[in-house]
Amino acid sequence: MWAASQLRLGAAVLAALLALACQSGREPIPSAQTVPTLEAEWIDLAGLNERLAAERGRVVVINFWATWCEPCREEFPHLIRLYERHSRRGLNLLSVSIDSPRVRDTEVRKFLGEQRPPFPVFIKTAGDDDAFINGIDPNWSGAVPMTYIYDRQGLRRHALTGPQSLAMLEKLIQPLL
Amino acid sequence: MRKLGIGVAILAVAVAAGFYGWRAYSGPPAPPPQVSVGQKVADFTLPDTQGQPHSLASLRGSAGTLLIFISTRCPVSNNYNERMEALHRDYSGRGIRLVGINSNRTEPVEEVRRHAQEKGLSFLILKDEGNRIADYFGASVTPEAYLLDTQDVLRYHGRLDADQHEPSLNANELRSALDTFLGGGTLADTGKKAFGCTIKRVGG
Repeated sequence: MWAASQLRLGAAVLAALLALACQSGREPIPSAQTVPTLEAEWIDLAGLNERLAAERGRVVVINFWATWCEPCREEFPHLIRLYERHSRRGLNLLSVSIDSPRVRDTEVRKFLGEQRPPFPVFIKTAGDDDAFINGIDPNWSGAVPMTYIYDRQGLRRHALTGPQSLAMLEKLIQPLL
Repeated sequence: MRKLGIGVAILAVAVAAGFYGWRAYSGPPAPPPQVSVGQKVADFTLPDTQGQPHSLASLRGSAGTLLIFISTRCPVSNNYNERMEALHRDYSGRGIRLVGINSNRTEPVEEVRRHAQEKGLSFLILKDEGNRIADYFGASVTPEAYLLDTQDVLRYHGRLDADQHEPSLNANELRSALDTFLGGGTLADTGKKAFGCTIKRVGG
């Protein structure tokens, strides 16, 4: 009787551990957004850090881009696809344009209207690029596109210079989801 | 208890697998610079857009050499074409030799030559096939400037000015550095960053 009870307890603990191992103890997090973003919201370094902190619990991809950057424009549809595939599993994507503030309502809006990204899009406010770049990452040269991947604890896990393929991004986020 | 032990082992493996992605991946970023401000730049030789080789020593101006990594296709670099030409015009008479370097593997030398003609760039432009010199300096964006004194010691590294869209700034940060340097002063603040295009490296 005692042995059977112990066995049941052991099985229950094992089942719980396996469930924990498989799901990391988390419920699926609903996607952060379901409607396309057609206008970029202003953001500065402090705002971006606050937003990142608020995303704790999700895997977060931050992508810095510009309308004048052709590799960024080519990479953008991959980011949309990435978000569409994985947002239901707890991925969020913060897209940050480093275009001049004066083109927010022209070039940036036009590009977003064409792409209709399902994730939030921001545009850097006017201010010193140097402080912004170093505030994000002292090792970042300021070249775009630049992509960072954060895990659910908010730790930066990857810094990706240049345009990335969907396959590469998925390879890197899969272990974190 | 044995099963519990197995469960713990499975959990440990799963947690380890979860951290598999820790190793940071990088695309084709610039390697660490082999020279920094205050250090002597090793002589090198690169061909111009006509194929004629030039050594760094042969290019040295009477007061110094200004190297700027540039691009034919990068909109940021192109936004600085007039400002770079103005720098060349304003400082060549003061002993500063401005030399452009194109290290982008995606921009062949014929394109670099044609671009210079079309944009009216009258300063010498060298083609850095294989991005060997960009790697040496650790240059990663276009445009990116390096000022060398007459001993080829690196005295300034950084951007031309704070805003690619504002030509009225006219490369004021680099001009300020040049003026300070030519006046015999010490450059207190070097290496400021600006947004730009990645240098498209071989293997990238």
